Amino acid sequence: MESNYRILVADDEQGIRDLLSDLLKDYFDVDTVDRGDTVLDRLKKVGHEILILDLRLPGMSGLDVLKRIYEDKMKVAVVVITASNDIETAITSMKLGAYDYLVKPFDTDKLMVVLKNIVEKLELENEVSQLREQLGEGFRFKNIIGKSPGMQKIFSTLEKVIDTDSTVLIIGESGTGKEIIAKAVHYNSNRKQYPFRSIDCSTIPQDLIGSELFGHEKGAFTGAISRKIGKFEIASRGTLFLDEISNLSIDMQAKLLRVLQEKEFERIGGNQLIKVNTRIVTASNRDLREMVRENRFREDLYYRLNVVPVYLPPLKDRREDIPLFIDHFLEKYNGEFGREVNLDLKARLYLTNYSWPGNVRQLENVIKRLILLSTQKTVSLEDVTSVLEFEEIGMAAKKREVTAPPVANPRPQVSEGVKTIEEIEKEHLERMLRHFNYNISTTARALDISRKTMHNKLKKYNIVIKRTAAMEENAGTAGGEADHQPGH
Amino acid sequence: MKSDEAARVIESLIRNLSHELKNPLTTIKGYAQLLALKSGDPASVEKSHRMIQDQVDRIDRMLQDLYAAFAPRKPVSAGFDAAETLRELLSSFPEGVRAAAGHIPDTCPAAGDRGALVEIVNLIVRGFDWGGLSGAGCTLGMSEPGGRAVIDICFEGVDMPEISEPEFYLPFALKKYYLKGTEPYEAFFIALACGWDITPLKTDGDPRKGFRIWL
Repeated sequence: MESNYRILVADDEQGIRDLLSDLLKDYFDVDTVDRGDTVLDRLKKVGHEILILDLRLPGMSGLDVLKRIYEDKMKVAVVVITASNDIETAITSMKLGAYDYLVKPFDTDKLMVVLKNIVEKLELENEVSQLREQLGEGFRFKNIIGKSPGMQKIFSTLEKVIDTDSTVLIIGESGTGKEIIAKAVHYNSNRKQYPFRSIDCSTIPQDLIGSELFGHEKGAFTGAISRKIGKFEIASRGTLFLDEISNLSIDMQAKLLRVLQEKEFERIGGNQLIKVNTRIVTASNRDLREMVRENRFREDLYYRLNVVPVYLPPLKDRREDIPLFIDHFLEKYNGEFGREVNLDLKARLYLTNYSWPGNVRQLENVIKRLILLSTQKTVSLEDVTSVLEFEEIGMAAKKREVTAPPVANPRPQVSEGVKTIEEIEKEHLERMLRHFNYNISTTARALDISRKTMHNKLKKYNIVIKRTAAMEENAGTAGGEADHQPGH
Repeated sequence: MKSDEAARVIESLIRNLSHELKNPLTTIKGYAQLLALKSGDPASVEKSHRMIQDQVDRIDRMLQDLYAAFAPRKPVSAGFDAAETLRELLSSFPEGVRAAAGHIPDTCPAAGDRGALVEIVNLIVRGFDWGGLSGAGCTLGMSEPGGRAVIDICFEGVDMPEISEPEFYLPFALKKYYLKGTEPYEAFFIALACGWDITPLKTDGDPRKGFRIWL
């Protein structure tokens, strides 16, 4: 247990001070005081992480020192050592935040175990703090990609209200980075050391969303086998991000409004009022004003949420940012996959001028796929169009699923020479399979589809994969990568 | 003394004694464990031996101090001038003892053991933790309430609690203020052997606290 931590030993007994110095000097930076009234000053000046505190001290009693540490919220782990066996003193010490309590004459081994545990706790706290700092760093305004005037205006607006408790409503198409802006609001504010939590209101069933938001008591409903703390409570003093707020039922909208007004709520099935100080950031890709007009969204809630509105422009309206995103994602995924892929000029220009209906998320997927599929260090325009072609097929299919009702004969008549989407998909599948030496799992991963979907498509397009000697060998080592034979 | 009061005094005595013994015992135990851990380091071994020896000697001294109060005494009964004795004592205190003279009459005839009185005052005044309680001072004065000569030793500038009678005969009860913690206890039993009394100084809201020696 070697550490850089500093220990202050406060004991009026010279023997104990000597003993603890001799015992701990190989592991800690040890400092000693013999009076209670000098402890606080020394702690403030040096910033020791650990205090070994005798309770009977001249000048100021150990309990009074502990009280001051507790009241001043000083960050120091205190181990109380005392000659008294009095259980009440032990309880009081622990209530005042002491980490442990050792009765003299204590075992030095036991003290070392206590200190080892404290060091582990401090290491963990440091790690969490560093990770939190790193996490927050990524969401600083200066580190968010957005040099376009539209984004700069957003950052400037948010900076003005960042340390207030104002609600923020982010409106933007899917894939524009609404959650990143919500996190930026949190990590740039004075709430950053407290939790950030998010809920996607479109993915959680309406009957569960109340429990997610407000928590529930044990037995509140069937299946509530234990108490659950809701996101509102967890994010108290921090920020709660409610994505796709338009999906919230009218009933839940009323509850949310009440919490915003009263800053207090009860867990489901509970009767204790819980006070919270949670900043609310919401987002929607739908026009909430229109929903208000249609009586599908409460007007009073809309005005509560819309104190600071932020309109995130679609990617095509901030083309200045596209080259920055390209470089960012190239760096990210080259690092992740251990590649060194770049784009040639034509490919870059094409991507910059593309319409990006799926916004930043789509651009990210495309770059990721280009790096995965690329066999060379430089991606050409042809590679880009090929991947985008496949992207469009996927998007069109998705759109068709959403908008068009099923038809009896899905195969339309097409003019000669014009390929159908299915034909393009089949060609692309064959090309990708060739590229990955007919390995179904790798090809499926590269195309971002499951193996099951891959097999269904192979069956649908009657694509037969014949085993080669190399594949047999691979199949043997890879734990039976199944080859596809239609009809099997 | 009633039995419940006696039980309370004994309980306090054992608690105080146990508390005082646990500190040197912790040091002894700790250095014994350190000795095993650092047996290859001659300097550490030497220090561990020395510390263990020192703490054993300290426990021995502590027990001797406790017995000292009951050491057989043959108080000399003779006439002496208590006022003059007090003035001599005031001029004999070493540097660091912040003792001042209060009202001391020119003469104050008393009967008893003058040496015992010197010992009592020295225990109470010199035994005080003058180094640790740097803001403290004391005043020594004399008066004759009800025709009996008394010496008042009054402490000020220190957050001393109202002293109660059992604290005189309970060793270590005033440890926070006394170097060894047995000084007022020893003084109390010497006074008892001489036919004198020591009581808490009636302060009537006065922040000063102290002792009154009745001759």
